Amino acid sequence: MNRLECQLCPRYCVIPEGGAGDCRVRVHRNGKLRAVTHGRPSAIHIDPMEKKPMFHFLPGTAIFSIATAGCNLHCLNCQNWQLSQRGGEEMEVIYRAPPEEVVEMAVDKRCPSIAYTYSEPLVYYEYVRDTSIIAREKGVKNVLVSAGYINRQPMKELAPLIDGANIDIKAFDERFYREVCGATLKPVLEALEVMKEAGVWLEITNLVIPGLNDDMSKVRALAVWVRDHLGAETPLHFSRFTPMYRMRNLPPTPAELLVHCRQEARAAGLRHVYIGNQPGVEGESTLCPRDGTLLIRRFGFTIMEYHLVDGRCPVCHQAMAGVWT
Amino acid sequence: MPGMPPSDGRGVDMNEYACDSDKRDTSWYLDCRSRRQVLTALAAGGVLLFEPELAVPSGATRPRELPLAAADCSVAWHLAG
Repeated sequence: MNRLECQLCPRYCVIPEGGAGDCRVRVHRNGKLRAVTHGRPSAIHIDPMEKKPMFHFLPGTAIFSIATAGCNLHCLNCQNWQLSQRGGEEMEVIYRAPPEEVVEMAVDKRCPSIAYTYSEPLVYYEYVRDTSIIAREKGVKNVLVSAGYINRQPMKELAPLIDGANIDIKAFDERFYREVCGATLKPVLEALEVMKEAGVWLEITNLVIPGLNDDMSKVRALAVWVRDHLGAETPLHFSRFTPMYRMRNLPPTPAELLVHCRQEARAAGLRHVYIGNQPGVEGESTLCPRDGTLLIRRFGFTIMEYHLVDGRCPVCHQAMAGVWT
Repeated sequence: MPGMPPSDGRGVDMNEYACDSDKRDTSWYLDCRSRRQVLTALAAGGVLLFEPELAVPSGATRPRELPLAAADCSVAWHLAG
């Protein structure tokens, strides 16, 4: 067989012998597709959960975070392009970290969860899957931080192993996906529906780039879709864009634009809408949607006050959606 | 593939997601390969200031392989992502 088609993601890369897919890390070798970064991450850190950002998932805990090289998107504004837009052979460092050792280290460092993050975990799918299986056995939770650009069937197989996910919806706009990310929106929405159906705790991030995806009608459409398909309790994070990679010519997102996006999403009926990468502005804290009681006050990634009692508002006892223990 | 780390058995058989390439329309894949054109068009629209060359500097040597224990596991505080 001279060429193989990778069916993991919607690109359906047709890969000749010796070549790699668009993600650079799924290669055709000796008639088989191989995930060459399996057990070979290039980034390993312990992050605050709030950095992912996950605001309704084990708040205030540390999360063991790993990533290999590679990504199946090519966003012009990528924050981690040194990792995501390279193949494994182009990295300065690769760690030898088989799944069982990753879980052992997470446990050793007292992290209750592991994040598959930074680049695009779905292109190192088998590594995520194999690590998640062992993590589950050891009582460690699994968190995906991803653009969600994957086909339905592989996501169906992975989702039952995942406890929480923050999925980027880059814009509610196919043209933006095509022109800025080199991808499409529809498969991302389908993947989100698959995860929701599997019971994964979902949070959504939308990085707001001034002039490119800040049309309020699209922001509202995004919020309405999240409300109708994932639920009004699903946290939506509007993140501040910082000029980076191939978009260094654009300004950072003004704080007032993020506030405007948040107002639009709340008006659409979402109950937990946050602002990210802009410490100190409104929209970092969690309030009870029923009576407005302050439940979690944050500054950046730090929790300043925590008032939830067994996942409930201490005043009206309303249960808050999320994973609290 | 030149520069690729040698196979040591860690590569995972992905044939469950592989099939003959003729069975599916690959037009989207080909479209992706026209990405340079997209980028150029984007540049013409004023989004980019510089030549959109996709190549990322490639390591002249193979990556250093380190054990997991060598990883810096101090808590990382910077931009979300």
